[in-house]
Amino acid sequence: MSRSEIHAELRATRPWVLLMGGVGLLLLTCWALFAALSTLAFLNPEVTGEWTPYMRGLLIGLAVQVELAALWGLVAFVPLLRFGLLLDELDGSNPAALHRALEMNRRFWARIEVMAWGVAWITVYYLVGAILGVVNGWMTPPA
Amino acid sequence: MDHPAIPPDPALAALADTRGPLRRMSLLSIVGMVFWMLMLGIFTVMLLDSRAIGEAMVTVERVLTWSVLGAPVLLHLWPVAALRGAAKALSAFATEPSDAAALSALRAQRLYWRAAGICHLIIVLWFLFLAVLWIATR
Repeated sequence: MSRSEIHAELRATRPWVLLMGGVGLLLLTCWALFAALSTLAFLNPEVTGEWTPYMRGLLIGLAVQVELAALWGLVAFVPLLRFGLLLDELDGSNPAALHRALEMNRRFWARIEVMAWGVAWITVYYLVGAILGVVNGWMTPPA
Repeated sequence: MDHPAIPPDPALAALADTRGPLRRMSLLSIVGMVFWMLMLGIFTVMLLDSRAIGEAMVTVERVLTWSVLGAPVLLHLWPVAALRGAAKALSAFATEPSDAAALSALRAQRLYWRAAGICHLIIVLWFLFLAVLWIATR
């Protein structure tokens, strides 16, 4: 087993990392735009005129948090793209390049984990908020 | 008898440090998968229930509507399984570092990136197809 095999394995990973990096950036950009437009819509009284203040607050909170998660996801994808680009420098004999590439990989996973916990929190926030709203009638406007 | 852990090569130290985030991400993704499978089950029952949605939708429309949630959820089974494999391989490397274990961990990560890249590309293409279809049939 030689170090050059490790370099070769990482170089073979490059197209898939760049594919995921590109598609991920596209999806996260759409996600961020969608959340931004939703936030603007929920802030508009013409859209939310019939809603109770509880429901309006719940959905504005949801849209803002989804926006923050998408923006953090975009930040997380920067080291992923750098990881993919650095893999081209691996020539089988450069430990510094290997270290830099693996450090970018580690940084990506550390950042994307934060986003994953954020998304888990947003799901709990919305489910609990919606259940409370329905059970207590906070989402039903008075007749 | 426990084997003493061999200090990892400095160049590979960052790979060993990835173990924690990768392990937690893989577990979190399994929890997320269970949640979305549950959502998909509820959505499927709703679409199968003619009384709930009326007779307005023909079978093709129901299948395409189902795919809005069904395609991404089912496609994600592949990268979630690959991520679990990558987390296990990386854990083995971090426990007993060696070039062979590092190679195995990196191979498992390559399989994950392949699964994730193809899965998300198919999702993007499928949504584009649905959008074009929706616009064309309005």
